[in-house]
Amino acid sequence: MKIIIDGKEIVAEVGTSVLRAAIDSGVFIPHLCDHPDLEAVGGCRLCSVEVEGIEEVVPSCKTIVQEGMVVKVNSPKADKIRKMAMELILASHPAECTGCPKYGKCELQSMYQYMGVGPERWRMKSRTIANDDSNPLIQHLFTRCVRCGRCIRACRDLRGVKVLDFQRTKDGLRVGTDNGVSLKEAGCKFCGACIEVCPTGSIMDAIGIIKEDVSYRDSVVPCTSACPASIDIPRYIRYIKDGDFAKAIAVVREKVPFPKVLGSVCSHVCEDDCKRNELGNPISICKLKRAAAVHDHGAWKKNVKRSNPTGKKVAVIGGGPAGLTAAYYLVKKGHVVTVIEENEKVGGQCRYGIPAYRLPDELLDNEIADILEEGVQLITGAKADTPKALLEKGYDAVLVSCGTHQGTMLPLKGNDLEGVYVNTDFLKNARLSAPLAIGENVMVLGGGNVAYDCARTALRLGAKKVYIACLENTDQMTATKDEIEEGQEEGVILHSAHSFLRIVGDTKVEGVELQKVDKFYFDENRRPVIELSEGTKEIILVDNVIFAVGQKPAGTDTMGLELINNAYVKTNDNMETSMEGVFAAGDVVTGTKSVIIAIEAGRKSAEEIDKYLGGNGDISEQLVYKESPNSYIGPCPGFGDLERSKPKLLNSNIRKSSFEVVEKTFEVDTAKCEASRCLQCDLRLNITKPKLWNEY
Amino acid sequence: MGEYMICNTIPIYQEAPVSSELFKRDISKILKAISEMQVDKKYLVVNEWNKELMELLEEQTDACSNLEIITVEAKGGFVFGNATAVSKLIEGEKPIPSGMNENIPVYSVEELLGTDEKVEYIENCSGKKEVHTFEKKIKPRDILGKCDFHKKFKGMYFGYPMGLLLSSEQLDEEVELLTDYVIIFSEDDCILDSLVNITERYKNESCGRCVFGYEGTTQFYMILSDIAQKKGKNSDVELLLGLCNEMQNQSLCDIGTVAANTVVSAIHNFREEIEDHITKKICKASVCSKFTTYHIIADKCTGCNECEDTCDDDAILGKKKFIHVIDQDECVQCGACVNACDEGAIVKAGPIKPKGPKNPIPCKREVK
Ligand code: SF4
Ligand code: SF4
Ligand code: SF4
Ligand code: SF4
Ligand code: SF4
Ligand code: SF4
Repeated sequence: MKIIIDGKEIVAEVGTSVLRAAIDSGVFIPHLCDHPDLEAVGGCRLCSVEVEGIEEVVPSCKTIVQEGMVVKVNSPKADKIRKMAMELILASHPAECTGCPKYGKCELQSMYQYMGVGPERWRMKSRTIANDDSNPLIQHLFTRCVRCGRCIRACRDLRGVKVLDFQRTKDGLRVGTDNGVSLKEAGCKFCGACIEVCPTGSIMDAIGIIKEDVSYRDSVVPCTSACPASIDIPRYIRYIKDGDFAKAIAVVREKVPFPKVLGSVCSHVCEDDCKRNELGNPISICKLKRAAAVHDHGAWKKNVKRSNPTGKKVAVIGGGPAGLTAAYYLVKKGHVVTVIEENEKVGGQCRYGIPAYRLPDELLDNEIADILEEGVQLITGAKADTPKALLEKGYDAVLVSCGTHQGTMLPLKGNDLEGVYVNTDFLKNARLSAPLAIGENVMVLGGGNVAYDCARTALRLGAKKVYIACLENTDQMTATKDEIEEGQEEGVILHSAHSFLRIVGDTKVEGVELQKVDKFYFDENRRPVIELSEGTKEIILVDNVIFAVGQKPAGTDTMGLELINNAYVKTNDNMETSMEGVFAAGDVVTGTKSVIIAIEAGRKSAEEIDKYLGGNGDISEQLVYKESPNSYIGPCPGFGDLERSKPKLLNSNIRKSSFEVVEKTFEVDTAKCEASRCLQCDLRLNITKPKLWNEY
Repeated sequence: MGEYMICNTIPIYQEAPVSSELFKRDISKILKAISEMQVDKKYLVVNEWNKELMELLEEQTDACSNLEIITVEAKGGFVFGNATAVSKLIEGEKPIPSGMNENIPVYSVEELLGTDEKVEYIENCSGKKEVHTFEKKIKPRDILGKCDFHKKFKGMYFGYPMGLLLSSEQLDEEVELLTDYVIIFSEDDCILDSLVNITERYKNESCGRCVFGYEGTTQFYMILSDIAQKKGKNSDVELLLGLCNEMQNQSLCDIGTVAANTVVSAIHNFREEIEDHITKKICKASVCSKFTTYHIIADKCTGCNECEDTCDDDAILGKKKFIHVIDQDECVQCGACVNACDEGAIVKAGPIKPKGPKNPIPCKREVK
């Protein structure tokens, strides 16, 4: 259908408004209460136009196009009304824009600057309403509200939550909840649609939510932006909410080949940034991943993107999470990939560093099988040649990803006594079912999760009393709260804020001398400072001491690569080492980090190696059709107070005596319920952003 | 949804509850009229606090059998005169207008009764209220004739949705009664002062959803108040008329339109009285406090000194046995002293001021 606007012929779809038709074809008509995703109201009259054959000026948002319609935007009559409307709006609006948080991004500001009008001929008085920052995530600055009602329509019509409405008060009409209750009490779902559509600075993200140094998307969906692999968290959680676990897992797999492993042992930094923290506790993002992963039947496999063979060969030294991830994506890019693993089996730290009660073998094998199925070749139980030798043997590229498998010992008197172990040996042997011998009493030195892995493993191997001693106080410890709690339940005795002076004994360990720490901090040169408390020395009698104070790469010194600190492989931004064709990724570069960081490093190195081998470096895939989510989320009384679901744990007495998995997977209903707590922070990104006039 | 109808019993003016009273009076007739309507869905809107009405409805279970009763908190409001607003109630939403009254099957109680008569609540300046029933088409003079009104007539205000403020010149021009509420003004009333109150009501009743309706009525109120506060500008009357002109066409619903009609008719019929506040700085009816002055009649003052202390602004000059004088530069026209004087010597004056001494002089009369 064709209509004519200010002499220009434009094509319009049947049923659209004159305003939409104009905007869509690049003709700007001022407007404020109209929003592309919301039903038109005709309240602000900024969009007034003249239509040939109609006596009075009409609002173009409420006027439906008709064939051959002749519209005048720049007519004196329409202009007069438009200007008066804007003057009236401004007359009750704060006079100054400076200091307003919306300054420069405000539709109202942009619109009145475009129209060049001011309220001076009217009585000017703004309707002051106290700012309200008592709600989580959302701040209300209603003195700046122009009552366009967009937020109300978004909350009611777009979301179906219906907590915002017009409210009559003795000081006039305002936006708010019924009876003025808090957003939480009203049943707000904190979806942010109201923020997104507000044309002024009246409804805004709470201070600190929108960060200047990251993209808008990352500020709005902080979980995904915190995830090292950028897993589309709200999307998979939404599928779990709807009980569609197959699709949920496909979404996870678009970014990582180890959903079950991550669902069991991920450090879940995403949860630290989850917006639900502002309402209490974060979404159980990690555990939900596991809940979905146990229902993985491989439906995603049919969508896997595979390239034609390239004839290029890649060797991967070390089959941990970084190496296997890289191998997986490189194979799919058409290269021939061989993983060379020194141990009997691949898996790296996941297999030899993490105790079986957290990550059982079957689960790991299962996910590795999917990777091997793509055609990754494996050489195990063999020490790899040097990278140089591998290149000479005909490999076109080499990836060093052999991790950090050598535990470190502190220079402590008595560390050479019989019965002193390091974490890596201790945990690995336990995993190999050939545990190192321990006595009745064991002390682990260190305050991180690995210390707990060692302590809890010692308990399971039959130790009666297991101590953990560390310099940090309980709040400074790097071990997670869950670990500390579960350890305590199992009987681990914690001596936090203690310094270890020496290991006592003749030939065999007999005890450890400890002293209380008054203060432990890092000075301005970031050197640790320890202040000990006088007269608190004591000797605790133990049969074994296990160091859990860190670990570093083994065998990198003979690889002929430039190293940092004599152990870590040095790389540039493209993950290239000092030797052409040799790349490195994972803990061997970064030092011991998390599984997810290693996986992301694996992905990145696959991209870089593919590019090096002449590919495009694109390993992205879409394993499930990207549906547009249901944005009509509906009401849910008490939504803000929904409690985080906790997984069931094995009884602490049973778990002490076996390596059975401690943490149960969420049942289907629990998972659905937990997933329904998600604020679906990504939904608001689907709301159309109106263009400011200067963008036309 | 198939076809439906809504019967609304919520009055437009809480102080003129025509619909709810008529509903109570003629409940069976109205329910019968509703039951005879050929539509799928029938709704009745009632006030949730109206116990009497609720009880009556409970007795009528038969007639109410296929009638859905919607209770609302409001006891009245202009929005209940707008069908688009009332129709929102059946979706569980607030009655907020989305346009004019076009072809929406919302019926008032009077419409269902189908009479040619109109029940009217009439108020006059002394706050006296009367209820009368008139022919729908009537001359204002006949309304006046029926009322207990003995002062000099000045004007007649027909409330929402009529929005008319007539002067004595139009007493014989027939009107069609659509409002429940009429106010009669006498020469003791100031039209400007009344118009301030009327526009304040429109501002408060406006749903706030459209710029011309809400910001327009707000400007009406602010401009007219300013004039009544001696802060009027020469351009104000034209500014108001210009605003009315756009409001009449650009308001989203008829509340804004009717408010504009009211102001237009007030300016048309009483322009001089309103403009005198701006140009001559007088309030003809001595109502607007900023234009009135207080004086002590020298002949009546006994010099008792009772009044001096009642004035918080120390505007009363004098001492015992002296005729007291009000210092016009200090007086803030609060009127507190008037009642303090047992002699009735202190008076309020409009445009014509009583004569008297400039400073206190010895008193001729004796203190009783
Ligand atoms: S809301 Fe917009 S127009 Fe209002 S003060 Fe802020 S920037 Fe200026
Ligand atoms: S539910 Fe969404 S749109 Fe409604 S108030 Fe809450 S955040 Fe805003
Ligand atoms: S808060 Fe924003 S969106 Fe809501 S009515 Fe006010 S200006 Fe419009
Ligand atoms: S509420 Fe959901 S979408 Fe929002 S940050 Fe948390 S997990 Fe991510
Ligand atoms: S109270 Fe009356 S009579 Fe007494 S001094 Fe005042 S004006 Fe005069
Ligand atoms: S009117 Fe009020 S201010 Fe004036 S003289 Fe009387 S008491 Fe004083």
